Amino acid sequence: MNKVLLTLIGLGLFAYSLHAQRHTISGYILDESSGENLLAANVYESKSGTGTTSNTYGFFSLTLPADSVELSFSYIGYQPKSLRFLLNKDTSITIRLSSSVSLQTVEVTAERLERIEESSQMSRMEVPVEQIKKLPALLGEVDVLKALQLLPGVQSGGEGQSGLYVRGGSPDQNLVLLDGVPVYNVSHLLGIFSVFNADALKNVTLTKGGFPARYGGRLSSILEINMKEGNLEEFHGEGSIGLISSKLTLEGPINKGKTAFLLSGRRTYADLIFGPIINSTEEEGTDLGVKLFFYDLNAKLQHKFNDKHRLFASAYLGADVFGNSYKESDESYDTGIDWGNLISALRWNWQLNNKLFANTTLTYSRYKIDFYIGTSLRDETGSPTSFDAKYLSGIKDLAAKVDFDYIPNPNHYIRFGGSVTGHEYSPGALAVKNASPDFKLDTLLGSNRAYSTEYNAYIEDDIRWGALKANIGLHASAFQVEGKWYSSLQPRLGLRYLMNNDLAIKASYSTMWQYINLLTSESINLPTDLWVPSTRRIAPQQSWQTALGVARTFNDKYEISIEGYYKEMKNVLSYKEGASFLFGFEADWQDQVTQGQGESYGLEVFLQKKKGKTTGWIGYTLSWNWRQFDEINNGKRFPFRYDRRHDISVAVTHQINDRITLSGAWVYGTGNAITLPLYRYPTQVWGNGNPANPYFEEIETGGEKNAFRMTDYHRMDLSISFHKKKRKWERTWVIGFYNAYYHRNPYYVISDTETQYNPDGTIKERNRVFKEISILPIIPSVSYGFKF
Amino acid sequence: MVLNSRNISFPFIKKRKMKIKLYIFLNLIALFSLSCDPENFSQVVTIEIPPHESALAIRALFQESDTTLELLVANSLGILDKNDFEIPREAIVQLYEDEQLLQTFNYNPINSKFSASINEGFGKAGSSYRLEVSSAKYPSIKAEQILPTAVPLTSAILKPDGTISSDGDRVDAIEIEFQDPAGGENYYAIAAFRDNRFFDGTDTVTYTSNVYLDSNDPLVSYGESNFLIMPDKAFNGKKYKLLIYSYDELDQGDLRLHFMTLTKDSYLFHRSMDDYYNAVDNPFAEPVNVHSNIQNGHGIFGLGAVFELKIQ
Repeated sequence: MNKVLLTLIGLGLFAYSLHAQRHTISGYILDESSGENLLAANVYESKSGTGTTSNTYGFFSLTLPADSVELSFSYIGYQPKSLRFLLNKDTSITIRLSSSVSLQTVEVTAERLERIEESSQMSRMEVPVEQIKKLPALLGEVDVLKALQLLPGVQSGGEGQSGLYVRGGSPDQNLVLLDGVPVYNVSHLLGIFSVFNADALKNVTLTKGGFPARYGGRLSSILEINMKEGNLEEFHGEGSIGLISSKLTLEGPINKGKTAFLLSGRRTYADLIFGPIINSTEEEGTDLGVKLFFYDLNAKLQHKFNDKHRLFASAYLGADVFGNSYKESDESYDTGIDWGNLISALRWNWQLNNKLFANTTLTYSRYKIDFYIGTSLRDETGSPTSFDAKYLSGIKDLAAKVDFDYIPNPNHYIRFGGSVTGHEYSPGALAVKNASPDFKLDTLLGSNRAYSTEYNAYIEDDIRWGALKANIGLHASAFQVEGKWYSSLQPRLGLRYLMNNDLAIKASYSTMWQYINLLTSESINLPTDLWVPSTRRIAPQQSWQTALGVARTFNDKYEISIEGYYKEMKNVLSYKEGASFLFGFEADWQDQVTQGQGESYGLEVFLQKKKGKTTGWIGYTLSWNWRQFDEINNGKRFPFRYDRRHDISVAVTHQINDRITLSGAWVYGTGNAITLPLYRYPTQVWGNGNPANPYFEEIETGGEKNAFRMTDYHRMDLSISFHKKKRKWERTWVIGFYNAYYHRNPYYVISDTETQYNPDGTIKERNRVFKEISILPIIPSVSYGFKF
Repeated sequence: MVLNSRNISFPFIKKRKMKIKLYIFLNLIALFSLSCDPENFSQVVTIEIPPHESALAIRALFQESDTTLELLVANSLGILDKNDFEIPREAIVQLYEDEQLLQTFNYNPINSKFSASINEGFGKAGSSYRLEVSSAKYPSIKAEQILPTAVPLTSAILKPDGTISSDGDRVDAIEIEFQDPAGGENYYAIAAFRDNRFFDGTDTVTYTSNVYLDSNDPLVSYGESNFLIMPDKAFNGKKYKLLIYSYDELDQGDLRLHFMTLTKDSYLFHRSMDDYYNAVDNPFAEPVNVHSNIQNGHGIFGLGAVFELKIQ
């Protein structure tokens, strides 16, 4: 009996020890056809009810008790995969998922994707690039930033502008990262198009609040855009020809399974069309030149040394080029303006062990604008003379950072790391050279170049306690400029409580500091806008934001989230009234600006359908947005220009069949706040010899800042795509129209005099009125795309 | 007219689906063309504006050595008020120098301005001047200025065809040089005048005309009355050389160059007026408040000291 008892006890202890042992399953989740990493793919173990998600590089780690396990791997747009095995040791696996036949008919059945209510992260939105490409586009140019403007809490600036105004913030308060590198100018053609070529992109994620500790440096949003990495298995390409630009993307293996490349380019061709027309007007012996285009080039190279080490190199070069030139025998004249970005990143992924992943990155980012004018001729004595003036402005960053992902067990996902960034600012320098027989000038004005160094470190943990999930973190930063130090500790907190399987309550709190600023007009972002550092006189911008919301999934198809937020901003920058700073050297920029406060609050509702033939979303935002500066508007609080009380956006894509897709978007917003003159007075008078009726020149002035509203804005865009699969390639015709029902949306307001006439042509009455001016009518477009 | 497959044929396009796509696009092009009528880009809107209480508005820009001083006096009106401006002819306009009454102005119906004569020429450098205007219909207004000391040019050289304009034309130029006084803020304006003579058959008639000036120097901006203006922030306390040009032939006739040292109010008025005119109807511009230094009213009272040079 004692022997039986002892044996039973021994077996029981053995079984318990097996159960108490824990092993780690780790590895990568990849796209089967291209070998690309799938970020935020879901890993779920059904017996224990625990799971995790893959990181940006497709890496996952899940520690479970030794036992038989049933794992499911899933990702939106891909066929899920299941795996059953006995977990009795640390296991390393690579999972390859196949994409579904068509994105719109994702039919994920048994497996659970990570649903909106499961994440502790709130105020974060990811729009699949394929979905962005299907939305109607202005002039047929797919635009990532314009697609984001359809999300709640995100507003556009003026008509056709690609700037993002997120929860009351201005565009410089958005940290825009391309493969982790900051991009300082995100617009082409004065904001009409963004610099991002959607064909080169893998994913786009916008975080509007509840910022995890790993992010810092801007007050209002983090926009992460990652490029594709290049197909490790096969050579592919895609491109399109549109009304104003064409693009081509090529990717493929250099060494199959190990090394791959991606090359993508886009260029407009207005100069190629108008250039020959202009040249045809040339007189004999003269040479006229015109430059009018923009371009983007994306390049990426990846190399897999082994399962633990991977290297990536990526680069982006883009510019807007405008100019004209004239040459005739000994005389020449050349003028123009160019602006653009160059960014590059070198990244090393290292899986140190099955629970620890490291990512080390070196980055370089440069934005500059050149304005130049040059002349050369011979004077009356025949001696050569020349005059050259070149205006330069810009910003350069060089940074090094290291990030760690440590997943000790399913209840903790710890991230920590640090970075150092060297900034160089050139807020306007003018080089002037004048050479003639009796006068030489070679001078540099306003070369007040500045330097600063920024340090960041963070630690955060995603913790699960049953139905409660929390992301708790701390971001520390320091900024050194002109011998002065600024430093901050920024606590971050995100909470999610799962009420039941489908409903969660979320809350967040975050503080942010911003050390660099953009001097810009409220009306429009211009390439001459200047990036400047905080200094001894200009303190860093700061904000704190809190949000509370609920999130729910219905029938596995619909997601709804409702969020309220409140944000306060301190030390926000604005030009003083009447100040302008076009070229940056006639005065110190610090004398032209003033700092003040901002406050914004509101409610966002987001309903999304992700599956089926019809997908899309409805977003609604109710918000208030204020600014206060002691030196503006006599110190009285005033509405921010983009204070938009109601903002509605609807985006729908319907797949009629495999070959035809319809898509549409409708937006509505309360009119922008504007400043209007209240009175007028004369500044000059001309007697004209008629004392009874002198002629006055007058000006209009007065009026509190942003005290009036333009009429409401609403617009519908539609497009239809005709898709055909050939044997070895596929093609798509897209026909679209912007502002389909031609609503005259106001761009600005003027005062004017309207005259009514009698039938005999004499003046009956003159009235002074306000007129709204709109700029974009209904605009059709057509483009042809191909893929192989 | 709607384009459809019955009234338009495309024999070179055989496939029906391609024709359908082309018809859709042609209809869209037609719609786009119709929507491009300029009348479609504006509409009158109703906006509630608070009532405005009219006040006096003046423009008084005086220069040293002027023998006739003129200023505009009128009223302000609400933005939607369709009445015309009026000049209060009965207004009392007085100029004080160092607290002593210097001149009382009289209304001149020929040019609709108030004017006064000063035989010895206006202005003493360093003196303070106060302008007061009172009228039965409006609250009284006043403004004060101190006349600066004129900064002289150290050289001015005429260069026929000496530079190329911003439009790429070869033009006559004048190269000037001056020494900016150290410390303080100084504001400059440059203007040129030509004294012309012609014989009308009986007498020789002389008249003065403005010469339009421009410059490729980015420190220079435009003021009213064909002035070029610039502050001294970029070269405070140093010598500065400036190249200005004109489309006129500068080596013809008697040319007089005025190098003026302005009061700060005068400079800000000129600069804000230039910004104002650049911003009018410009949707990319911030609204501009034109600089005003009039207590209880609107407008400008500004002074300038003059260094004159004859160019030969």
